[in-house]
Amino acid sequence: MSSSQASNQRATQRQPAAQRPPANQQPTTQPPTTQPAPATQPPAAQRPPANQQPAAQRQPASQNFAGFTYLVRFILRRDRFYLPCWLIGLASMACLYVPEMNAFLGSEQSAQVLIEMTKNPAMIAIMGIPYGHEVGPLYAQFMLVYTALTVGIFNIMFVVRHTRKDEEEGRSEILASLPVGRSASLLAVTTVALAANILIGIVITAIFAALAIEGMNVQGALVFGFAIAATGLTYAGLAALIAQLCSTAKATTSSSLIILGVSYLIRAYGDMQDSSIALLSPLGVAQRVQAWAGDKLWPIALLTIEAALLLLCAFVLISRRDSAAGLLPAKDGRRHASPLLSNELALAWRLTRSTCIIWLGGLFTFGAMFGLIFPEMVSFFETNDLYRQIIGIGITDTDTLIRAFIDFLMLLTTVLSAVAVCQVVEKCLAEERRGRTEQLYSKSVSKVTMLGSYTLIALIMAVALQVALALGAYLAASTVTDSAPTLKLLLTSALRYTPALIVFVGLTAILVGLAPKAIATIWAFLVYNFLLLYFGNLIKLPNLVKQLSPMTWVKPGASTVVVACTCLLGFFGVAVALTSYRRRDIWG
Amino acid sequence: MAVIEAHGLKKRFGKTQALDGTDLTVNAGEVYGFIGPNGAGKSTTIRILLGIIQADSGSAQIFGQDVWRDAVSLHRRMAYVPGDVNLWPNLTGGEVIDLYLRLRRNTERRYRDELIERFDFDPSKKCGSYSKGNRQKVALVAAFSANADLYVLDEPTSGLDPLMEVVFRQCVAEAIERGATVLLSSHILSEVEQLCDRISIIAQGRIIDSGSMAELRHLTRNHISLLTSDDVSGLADLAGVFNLSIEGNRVSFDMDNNQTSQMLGFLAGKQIEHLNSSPPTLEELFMSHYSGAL
Ligand SMILES: Nc1ncnc2c1ncn2[C@@H]1O[C@H](COP(=O)(O)OP(=O)(O)OP(=O)(O)O)[C@@H](O)[C@H]1O
Ligand SMILES: [Mg+2]
Repeated sequence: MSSSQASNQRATQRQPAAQRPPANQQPTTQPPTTQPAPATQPPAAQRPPANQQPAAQRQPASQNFAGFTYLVRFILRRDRFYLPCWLIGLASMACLYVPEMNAFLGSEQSAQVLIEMTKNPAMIAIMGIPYGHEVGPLYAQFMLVYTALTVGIFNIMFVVRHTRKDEEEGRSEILASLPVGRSASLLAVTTVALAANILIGIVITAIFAALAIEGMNVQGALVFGFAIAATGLTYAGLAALIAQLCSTAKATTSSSLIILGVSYLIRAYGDMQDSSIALLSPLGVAQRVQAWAGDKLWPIALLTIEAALLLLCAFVLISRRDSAAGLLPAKDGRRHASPLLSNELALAWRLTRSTCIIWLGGLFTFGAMFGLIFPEMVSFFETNDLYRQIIGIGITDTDTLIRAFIDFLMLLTTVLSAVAVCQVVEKCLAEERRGRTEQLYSKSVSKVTMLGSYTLIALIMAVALQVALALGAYLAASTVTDSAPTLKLLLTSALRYTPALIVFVGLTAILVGLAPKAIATIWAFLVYNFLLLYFGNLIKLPNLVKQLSPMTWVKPGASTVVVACTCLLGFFGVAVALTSYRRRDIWG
Repeated sequence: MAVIEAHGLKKRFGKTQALDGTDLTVNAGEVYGFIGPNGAGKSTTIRILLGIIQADSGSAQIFGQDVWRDAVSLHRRMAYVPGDVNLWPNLTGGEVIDLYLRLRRNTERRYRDELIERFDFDPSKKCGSYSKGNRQKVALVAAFSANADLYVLDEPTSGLDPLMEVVFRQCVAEAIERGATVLLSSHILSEVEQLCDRISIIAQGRIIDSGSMAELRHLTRNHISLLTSDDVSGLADLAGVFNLSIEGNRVSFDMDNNQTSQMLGFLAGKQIEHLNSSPPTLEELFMSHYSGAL
């Protein structure tokens, strides 16, 4: 079209639009020709101008937070299902085992066993310090650290979701162009996180009050609940700070989760040595409220201060940086694909590599931690008769006892390996969700090979993770004691659970191939497994419920047939997944 | 009166010098075109003007206010449409438009509804299910119902079908009618040529040319074609004549604009049946600049 046609088009605009009021111009910027005649003004023209501020006026500091209330409402709107689910889930997880624990302690015999068990240095490392022998402190020892850890994970995910993730996906681009302060959205996320954590604290307290167990008064429930809430807020602050430094959501989440994992390890080490090193970890601080024993308040205050400092740093950084950029420099990538990046397997490995490495390192570290406390464990077994009744009735010699305990530790840690292998397979779906697979599958890439590649990596990981775990334990134990368990023993114990991991790979693959919408069930199933293995001995559950976990199928003493069937079941799952994935539509 | 005034903007991302002293002056009431090859720095300039990122050096003012320091109050008077609109997959388009308008304290629903109708947009679907063009419409509807003084549009029509592009052009024209100013970056040069009063061409972070279409054309060549029965091969000897081709009585060549009178003098005594002089399109201008800049 020529320019004469264009101006013609301008002249023949539609009627309604022509009646719009003029843009709200300051007198100095208003071209006289566009001044409409006042007589033909529609009522809307009487709106006050959008901006009456004189030009070049200095911004008040509060402008940094403009739009804050709308953003809070927006977050609540976005998460109107997600938030209540988490709140209810977390609060009920904190209180779930109260009735069982109470019943267990009801009998003198089992109470003695439990009390002895909680003195085991390994158990202290895993769970926390016992502050007393009554139901309250024992319950706090079992549950406080784990609930605080889970609430920490929730906070990290929540904060990343509303900060770095939005920036990375480009959703904050238009928001940043609106009259919204640079720190407003961070303040909104922080506010909602604060409110959510306080709510968790209140709900936990309320549930304990409603249960009205003797020996678990409301005061103890308050410090229990708010120690958890304050820890959650600290990790929210941590994630908010890291979100300013890293430039991707993935890097933010994994760095925050690694710090969370390290702080768990610091607490474990510190508690076992009974040293104040544990105070470096928010989880260690939280525990020191001594719920239902001393009911101290200083840990809650300390955690709140830590959270406030972390948030303060985050707010200072966010007002100084560009939107969507991190403060740490992002490296330039390769200019050409490495020659190895030439088939489906290589691509899948490239995409899951960092996840795999982080998990391998994590499990090696966990193994090493247990290796380090091995000598304490042995001397504990040698001196404590009563304890033997818990792990295996009738076992009297220390060697067998140690072996049984190693099996127990491996079982607990294997849940982490299960999370890792599920994550690797799920990556196939995550790529699809982001619309990255359409490009791939339109080239000569077969869907089956792609899912197969992820599955293969997961299967290799099912072995590699367990080896890393055993190796970590072996190396650490042999540095601290001469009577370390042999590598063979540790490897057998760790690899025993690999068939169960294969089942997890199969299950995740089936969900990816058959029911991608229901992928969340795999995470729920993992949580179920963890709770079952952690508390399974404590509570009386119907056998069927226990048998739902593949880990229990391959426990020590399982017959070769059962083990073989477990493997086959896993592989069968993979086969079903591959055929159904080939048939189903790709989302994007 | 300048609405946007930017001088010597520089911005570096790691090793890339995205902007290397960019200047830009946009006057009130005009549609200003901003064109350049991929990676030239258009979006970077626009994001600096919006205070989304901060320039390493240089100054940028809009309505006399600093773009970084006074971002919030400036944004009340500005509306932005990016070329790549990303939305929250589990909210509907209508919800997102309302959010954007509420953040401006804009409670007027009339223009919103009118624009939704004109853009033929279904606001009740989840953003996750919108096509590229439909996501673009979310930003366009939100921007044009905002009644802003300055519209900053970065490839706003990418993904729009031709019908919707016509609606977009109407919206821009109406905004100008109301006295607003528009900064339009686009790769669709016919769109720029049609809408814009003045244009800047940017390459490798520097403005390499700017002015009205007529001014931009001034320094370039016109394409001349004529029908004649006389011998005009002498044209080849004239300064400023290029690509001469003579096929029978059809003659065509390119000519520097400042050599026009010389050519007319040469042709004066000749028998000319028909003469056509066509100015270069923006596309040709762009091509000549682009290849020159590299
Ligand atoms: N956040 C960033 N990090 C690193 N480099 C960036 C970033 N944003 C832009 N760049 C680089 O700056 C340069 C200018 O980019 P810009 O997006 O401004 O180009 P553009 O003119 O908008 O291009 P297009 O026409 O493709 O939209 C490019 O080389 C780009 O790679
Ligand atoms: Mg761009």
